[in-house]
Amino acid sequence: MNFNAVWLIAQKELRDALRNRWFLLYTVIFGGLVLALSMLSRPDVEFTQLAEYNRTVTGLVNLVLLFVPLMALTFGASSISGERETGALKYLLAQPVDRGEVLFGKFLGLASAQLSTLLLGFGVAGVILSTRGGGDGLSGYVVMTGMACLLSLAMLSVGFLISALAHKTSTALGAALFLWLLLVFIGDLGLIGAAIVTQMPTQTTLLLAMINPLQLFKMASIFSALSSLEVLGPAGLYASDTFGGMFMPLMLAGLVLWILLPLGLAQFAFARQGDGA
Amino acid sequence: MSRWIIVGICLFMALTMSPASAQGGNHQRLIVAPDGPFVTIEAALEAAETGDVIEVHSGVYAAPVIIEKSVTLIGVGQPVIDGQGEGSLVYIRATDVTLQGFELRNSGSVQHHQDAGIVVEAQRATLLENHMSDVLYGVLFNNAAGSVAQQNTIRGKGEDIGLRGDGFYIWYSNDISLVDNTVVHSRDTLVSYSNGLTIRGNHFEDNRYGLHFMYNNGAVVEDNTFVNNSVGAFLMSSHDATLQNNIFAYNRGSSGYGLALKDMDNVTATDNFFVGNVAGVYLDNSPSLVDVYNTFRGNTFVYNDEGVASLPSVSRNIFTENSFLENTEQVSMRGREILSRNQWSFEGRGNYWSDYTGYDRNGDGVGETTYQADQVFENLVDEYPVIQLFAYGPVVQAIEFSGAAFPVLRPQPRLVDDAPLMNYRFPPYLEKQSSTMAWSTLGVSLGLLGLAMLPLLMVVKRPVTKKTAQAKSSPVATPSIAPDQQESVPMITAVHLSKHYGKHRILNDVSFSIQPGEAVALWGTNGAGKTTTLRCLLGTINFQGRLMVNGLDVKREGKRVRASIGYVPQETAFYDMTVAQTMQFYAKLKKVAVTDIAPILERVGLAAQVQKPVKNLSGGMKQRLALAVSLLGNPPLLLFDEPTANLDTQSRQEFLQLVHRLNHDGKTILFSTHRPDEVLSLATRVLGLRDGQVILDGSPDALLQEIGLSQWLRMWIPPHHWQAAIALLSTSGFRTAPNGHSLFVQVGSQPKISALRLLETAQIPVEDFDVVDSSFVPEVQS
Repeated sequence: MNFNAVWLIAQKELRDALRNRWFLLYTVIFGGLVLALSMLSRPDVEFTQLAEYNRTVTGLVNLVLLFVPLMALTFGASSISGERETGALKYLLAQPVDRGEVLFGKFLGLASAQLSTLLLGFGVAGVILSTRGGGDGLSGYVVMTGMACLLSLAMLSVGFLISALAHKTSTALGAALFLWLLLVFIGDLGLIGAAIVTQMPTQTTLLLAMINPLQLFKMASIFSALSSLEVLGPAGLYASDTFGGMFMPLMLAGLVLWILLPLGLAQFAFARQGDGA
Repeated sequence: MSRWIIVGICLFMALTMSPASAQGGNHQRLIVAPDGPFVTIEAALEAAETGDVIEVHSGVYAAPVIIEKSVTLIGVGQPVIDGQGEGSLVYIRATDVTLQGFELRNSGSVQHHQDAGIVVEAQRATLLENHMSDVLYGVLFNNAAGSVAQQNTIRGKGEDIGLRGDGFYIWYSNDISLVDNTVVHSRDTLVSYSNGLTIRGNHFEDNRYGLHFMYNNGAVVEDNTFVNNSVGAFLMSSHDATLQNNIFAYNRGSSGYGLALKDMDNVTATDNFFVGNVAGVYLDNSPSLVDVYNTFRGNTFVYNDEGVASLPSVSRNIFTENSFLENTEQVSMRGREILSRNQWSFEGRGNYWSDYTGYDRNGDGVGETTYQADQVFENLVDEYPVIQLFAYGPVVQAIEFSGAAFPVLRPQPRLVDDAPLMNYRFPPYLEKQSSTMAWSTLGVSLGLLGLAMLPLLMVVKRPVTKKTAQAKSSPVATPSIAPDQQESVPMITAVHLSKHYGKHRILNDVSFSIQPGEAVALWGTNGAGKTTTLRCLLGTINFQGRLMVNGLDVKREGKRVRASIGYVPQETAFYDMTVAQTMQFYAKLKKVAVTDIAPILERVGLAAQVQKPVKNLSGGMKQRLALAVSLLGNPPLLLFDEPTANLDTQSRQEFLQLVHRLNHDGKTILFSTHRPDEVLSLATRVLGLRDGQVILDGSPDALLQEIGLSQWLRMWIPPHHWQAAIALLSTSGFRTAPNGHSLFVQVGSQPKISALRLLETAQIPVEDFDVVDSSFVPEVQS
């Protein structure tokens, strides 16, 4: 693999993203909500700081769950299919590059843009939290930021897989939005319904929920920020009791798998599509 | 025997007459210090009378100390009583004993012995300012009514919470007062069968139960802080308890209650502060008696997972003027029930609810509409705790939204507050906390912001120095052919080239060879396989057969092959860049020095358009840009896919001239077209394709002859000569086509003049003529 070409394509993707109005809109909205969330607080009296910090952190988790997959999936989904539709991809592939370099270059560029948005949001929130004395939860906050970055990469990776499989941007975006709905709402709703109707055992509910990368991120973030999964009820306690010290490595491995597997499949599909591009 | 009696009397006299003992009223003051006069506490106790004061100066003294006289022991300079890990340290077995200012440490660890710092087994003991550490139990009050413990510190052994002893253990001791003590790292402060209890101003931290009591009536619990215990205070089976001004913070054990009441009657809880607990208040069968009420007034519940959690059967609790702020669940029910049997307002004053959305029209501080706790998700969690797993996610909002949109989904309200307050209130005793800057968090956050800016460095232009330009001055990946090999090695060799999409065969066993310097036209109608052939050559699609370009196998070395090829597509698709940026992008991709860009742009006539955005270029300009990109790296082979299809006549002519010059300069050119004029003007050879097969490999003239395509003469002949002209030309083998104004005559490979001479010989006048291609011909007639 020629890393010069990968880097060049990544730069091009990043430059495109920074000029993309949708991307800027996402960034502004995410940053604004993070800012608002971290600035919301009650009067500073003794004993409330930690609780406020925890509330901000769980609010951030909620925000990441809603925004990051939407942003990453849609940008990932339009990454290849968009250029395929305009013919730019065909022209690029006629140059001395191979498909792997194009795919990874695009992934690297878009990932940099996504992570930049996330780090900007978390950085701003962190600065505001630091003025309110949020020093105790620093390590948890850093871990949560890292997990949010991994979730972003995982969703981007899934978006790339969609993009590699779809021939039209509209199809890819439709699939991405459906997947977003599935991961954020429909999947959990379905599982809640199934858990209630079938009286599903705690461990089954937990394991099924853990298929969803968003749940992996949520559990890992809450665990790292609050040092416990108590707030997630019996299933949360079951998770921390069952996995013990392996809980965080397991969550980490799950998210990494969600990055590598779809990206690998995207590369496989893209490489086999000698006919499609 | 008498000798021993005399010795004893002498000793007694010596002790009582000692200058170290001082008279205080009727009582003596005995001094214990490492250097005497009493060197052990036991000796002083032995010598003391009721009401005496024993001053124990700093030093380490052995345990156990057993006090069986009503004396006062005062530590001066924090003397230490060290149990060295064995048994209890101090026993008080006489009434009205005071023990003050000692450090007691290192008790035994035997649970069933209840090894403790202080064991009080008599009434009215006073324990003041003692500090106990590494003790299994702190203080045991056993039948010690009227005793007081004030400003003591108890620090347990800190072992596993189940192996710890209790901080205070009070058993059958009425009217005990615990005031301003600190209990940390212990199991519980456990009180049983002791009425008239006063627990005031104590700090309970990191214990299992900060306070755990049962069968204690009339207790007053006020001004205490319960923080980071598994449970703050768990009160059971008692009545007439008053709880006020207590802080219950972050009690988050497996149960995690701030305050739990079980079988508690006539409890008054006022101005307490509950923050960050799993549940602020937990109610179980309280009150237990009919016609008895518990009252919660002016308490603040903030940031708890559940503000108030209740078992289903609970009733007759009055909640008024409390503030419920931002609890994940303001009030929860552990099971299927509603809390309607409790009162959520009293005398027109309800509670403040941070999720109340009503309004206050008359400004009396009370909302005009009721507050109803009828959240769908919370209700589901109450019934099915396992789905709490999905909390803190957008799905919760979705469920609540569906509840708002479709009221039929909303559950019966768990509570209704018909006089909700508009303003919350924090207890006045809470100290203002000035925010302290967390520098570590600030540093890390600035680091995150720095990382966020990092990608910008990726897109910052690096100036290209002469040195770097020279270093990259040759296209690395472009393989070149030695001049002496150029004649012998074909530029392109295709052997049995086939390509199909499913059952549809696009190329079918195509073989050909192209020598360096040739200009070859791939001719054919739409769908003949021209573009597919070019894409096979570029290696961007899979194919069967063998394809060599510039001595390289396309399948194995596609990237190196593409480095040998300059490609111009039918429709250009560039990124949103300027001409210069586009050239730089592709130059870097091909590892070509940026200094090579200017001459190429000059050559294709785009030098003046360098800073223009590509999207603003005309079609012809874009095609020139594509040509410029194709020339980067000086590739020996140029592939054009119907490059002039979208150009106007002038642009087409200019483009063809450029290509012609390139061929003249030695480039091998393969271009697809279905335009005969391009074939004739540019190609030295034609590969004719039809249905994926080569049907012709020859000169342009051969193409025209083979497939019947040729140029046409358009002649203007007077109309009354048309019949004769058509008959003459047809007889002589020419195809004709009149269009009303003029006559079209196909000249094919014959000299054009032959048709004109034929008419001239027959004295048919030709007023004018033009040479056109078949696209101008309306209908062919034989």
